[in-house]
Amino acid sequence: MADSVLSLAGMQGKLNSSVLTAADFDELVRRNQKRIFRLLMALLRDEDAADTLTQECFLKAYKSRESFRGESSVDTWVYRIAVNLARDYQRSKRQGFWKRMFSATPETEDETPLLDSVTDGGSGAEAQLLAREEVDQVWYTVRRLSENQREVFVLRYAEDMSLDEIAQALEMQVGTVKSHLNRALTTVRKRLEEHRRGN
Amino acid sequence: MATEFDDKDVKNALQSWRESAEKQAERPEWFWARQRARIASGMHEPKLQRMPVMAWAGIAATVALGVALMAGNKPAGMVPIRQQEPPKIVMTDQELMSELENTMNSGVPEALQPASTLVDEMERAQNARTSSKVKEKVQ
Repeated sequence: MADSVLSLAGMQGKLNSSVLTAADFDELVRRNQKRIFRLLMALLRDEDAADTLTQECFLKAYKSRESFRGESSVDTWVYRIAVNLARDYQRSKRQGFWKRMFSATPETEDETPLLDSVTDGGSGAEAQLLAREEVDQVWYTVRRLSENQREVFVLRYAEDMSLDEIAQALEMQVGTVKSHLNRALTTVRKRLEEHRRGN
Repeated sequence: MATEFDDKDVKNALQSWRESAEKQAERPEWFWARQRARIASGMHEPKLQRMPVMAWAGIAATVALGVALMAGNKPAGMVPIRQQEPPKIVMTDQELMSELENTMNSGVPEALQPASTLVDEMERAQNARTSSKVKEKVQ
């Protein structure tokens, strides 16, 4: 993350002076699109939504580039836009809950286990199965965390962002980030322990 | 099966979770190219000002008011149809009495013939009864 921030220093200057060309912006998209998509996938677990919101994120960044004040890195700024879009999406999804309840369309929430996504570390079949189950337990718990805890957890453990970067992206105090992260970790740990005891 | 869950276990679980998050976001190159193309196309779209909800409400209210006014007022250029009154018949008292007398003297309408016959029969029977009573008293 630090490397990309340094390499985008020139971009940041251009954003500030509002002379960002389409080519500059294309570079910004190329550098960040996979990360933003991954972040949105981790937050929403919905490929279509993550794809659409990734596009929306960059379009929003482009259209509001004049409002970028340079108080954080361009990356962090784009992350902030993505997180806000994810929040709006989840709120509108919640508001549409009753509508979906009475419509014929079934709930499309993806709760498919991600068993195939964990690599085999060379351990025995039992240990491998346990590791896969634990990953599913983490996903299950992450989905049930509060909005702030989930965002902090995903940015920290999926995106490997520092506490300062998370604080800037979510416009929070570092202490608040730590608090959310501790609570999220405690919940995840508790769930994993319960799961292991159940086995 | 181990029941302890130490920090190392949590760390390993989180590492595995991170790998799964990366894996679930993996897409072929065409996916990223398509996404970039869509973003580029969106960047060149003219900025459309979305009409706020209040504006739509205002338009709807104006239309509703217009419809109400059109329904309440008659359109210009159209003359309302006046119901024609029946022609007044001016008749003096003498003419009225004369008309009444003619009606009384005229024959019974065809439709009332059965009733007229019945009344005649009743009158005849009544007269016959009266005359027989008078005869009995005389005798």
